[in-house]
Amino acid sequence: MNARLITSGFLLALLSVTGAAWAQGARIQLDHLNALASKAAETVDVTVDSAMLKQSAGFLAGRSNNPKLQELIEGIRGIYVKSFKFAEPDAYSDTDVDAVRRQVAHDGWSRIVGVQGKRELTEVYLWKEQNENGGLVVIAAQANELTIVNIVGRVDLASLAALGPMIPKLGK
Amino acid sequence: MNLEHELQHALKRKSPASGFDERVLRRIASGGTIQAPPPPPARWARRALPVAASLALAIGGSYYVQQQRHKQAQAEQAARDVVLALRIASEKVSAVQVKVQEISHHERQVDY
Repeated sequence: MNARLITSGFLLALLSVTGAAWAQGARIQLDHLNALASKAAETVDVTVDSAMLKQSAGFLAGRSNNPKLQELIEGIRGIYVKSFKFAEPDAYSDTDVDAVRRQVAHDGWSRIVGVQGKRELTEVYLWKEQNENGGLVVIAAQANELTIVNIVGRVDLASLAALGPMIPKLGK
Repeated sequence: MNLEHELQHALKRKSPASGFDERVLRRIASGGTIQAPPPPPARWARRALPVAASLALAIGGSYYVQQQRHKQAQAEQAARDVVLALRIASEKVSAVQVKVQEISHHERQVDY
């Protein structure tokens, strides 16, 4: 009886852990970087979930007639950006970057680009979901700048790169 | 002549049915009341009703407009965040593309 109870408890715990891992999917945790904001001269911290994306869709449709932008946004379920510019170099540590890299070292993630220079690192990781692109992580680290971009959902890298100048500018 | 006779007959005093006084007394004893018809609304009440309705409409309307403005502001903020995030992502990805192209171009030159 006790053995059966223990086995069921263990199975339940295992199910909840794997469920949580599955639910996390292409979303990575970036909260550990929040402490860098106090050291940074300039901080960009953007959290856009699917509800906010839906909310903004109508507004953006009215401001931009670019169907590629609409198409790109339609596939996205969340965008999370943390970007810090520092007045002095070495304001962040390798541990800050490694904490992000550890999260994309699991199954499902694959590094498609990695460029490492002198005090410079740029990496792009893609998350595959049933053989489809389900998200991406960009790590861009320079001596006095650190940017992490995490997009959850279907993203076409070529479209994203090409879209830059066509993204409408929205005044404050 | 006939009409006069009919009128006299209609207005003739009639006694109530037998037991009427007993029934009335019994009802009073049992606590029964006879409801008086409601008084007609006062003049101020007749005037206050449309004023109250207009006030409610104005308050409701202004609340609705405020809600719409709040939703609009939220959508604008969300759109700004989306655009900023996409711009940063696009900038970083295209920078990587440029670097990769530079590296491959350099490697090709070294091969030759």
